[in-house]
Amino acid sequence: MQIRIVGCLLILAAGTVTALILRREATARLTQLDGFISLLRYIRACIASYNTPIDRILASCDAEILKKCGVKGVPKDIDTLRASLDPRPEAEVASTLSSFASEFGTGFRDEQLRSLDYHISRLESLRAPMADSTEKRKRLVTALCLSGAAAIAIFLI
Amino acid sequence: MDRNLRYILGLLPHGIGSELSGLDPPSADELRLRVGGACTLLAGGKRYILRSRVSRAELSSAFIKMCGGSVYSHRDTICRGFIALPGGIRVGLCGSAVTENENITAVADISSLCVRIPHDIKGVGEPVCRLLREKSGGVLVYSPPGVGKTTLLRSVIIRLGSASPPTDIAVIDTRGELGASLPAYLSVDLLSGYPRGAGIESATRTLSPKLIVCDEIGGSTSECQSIIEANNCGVPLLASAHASSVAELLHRPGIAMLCEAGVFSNLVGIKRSTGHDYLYSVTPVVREKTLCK
Repeated sequence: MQIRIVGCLLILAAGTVTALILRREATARLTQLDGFISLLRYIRACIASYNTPIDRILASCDAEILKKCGVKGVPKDIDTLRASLDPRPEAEVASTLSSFASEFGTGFRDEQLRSLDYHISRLESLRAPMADSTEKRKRLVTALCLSGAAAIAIFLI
Repeated sequence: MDRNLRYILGLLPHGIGSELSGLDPPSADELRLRVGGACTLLAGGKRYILRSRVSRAELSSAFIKMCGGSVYSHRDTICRGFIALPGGIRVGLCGSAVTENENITAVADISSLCVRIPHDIKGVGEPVCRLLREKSGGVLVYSPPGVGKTTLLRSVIIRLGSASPPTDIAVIDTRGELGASLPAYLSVDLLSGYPRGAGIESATRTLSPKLIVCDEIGGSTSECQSIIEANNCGVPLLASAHASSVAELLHRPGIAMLCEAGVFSNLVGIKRSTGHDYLYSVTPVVREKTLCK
């Protein structure tokens, strides 16, 4: 009996841990999107204030922002940054970044600022639906994992 | 292969890059790329016409790479017709100008690039260093384009900045060429991108230099006026200007104004012999009436 109780507790613990891991994965893409928005805002501020070239912008960027974006190390340009992303962003986010990368660095300051404003607002418009679906997914995985673990525990007992 | 040329090859369209790698030219001086037209290389006094052609898209891509993927950060120099790359490489450009009130505000559709590759020639500039050590006043170095004024100024900066004791030098590097690859140990303050008048004023007020160096002056009388105002501090100025003779030099109102104001005490003309040695001709400036050759 005691072994069964210990077993049930282990199963419940496993269910809880699994729920936490899956919740964290569910929020990872939202965290990544927040990272991209912060990164583009930072790039905009550097260009608006100092016309800083992109390699210096990325070198001076807060490591936490790059980590949120899923970038390892310090990339020297936007294309290198996109190639090193882990996890790969959602399709719509990836498409927005691709559009941004194709325009970035090819024109003068005013054009760059307008492009950045456009792409920041596009990413921000993706945030609300993604936050909503993330919450739903978190609730779902929590319910599934905990109820599954509880069911197995009850079955054992 | 020259270090600077190897750097440039990495930025060029594939066809041109491969052809140049195959040529492996000694001491490349200048590379010209033209959309749809003949691309040429000047190396060791010889002009090579390249077989490869470059399309508008390829030239545009090469130009963006040369700007480090950040064309916006080079806007000021692009509107003045060039970009400065690491190592003192200067890339002249032309295309379709966008103007506002007769001022160029942008350049679109780049159609030509002229890449000038500098070479460090050790030991030049001793006559100029001697004039400056004699504390006889400012020195203006002149020659036609492409002879080596910037190389000479850089050599003088290195000689005086590393001497014992070193001279405190403020370098007004408006075009981003003088400061390229200056050793870090020099006693030099580098004012990168500063307009000449503002840079001289800032340096004399805040950096206590014993010598101020700037490149390619005489572009406008307003610039020369601001140099005169900033230079009333007793610190000698070493500068360069385009001209093939003293008479041609003094024919430019800005330069004549600077000489009359006592900014320069000596005019040093330079030429290159066939062996690439520097040949100097020194002309003292006499105010009110200047000696002409």
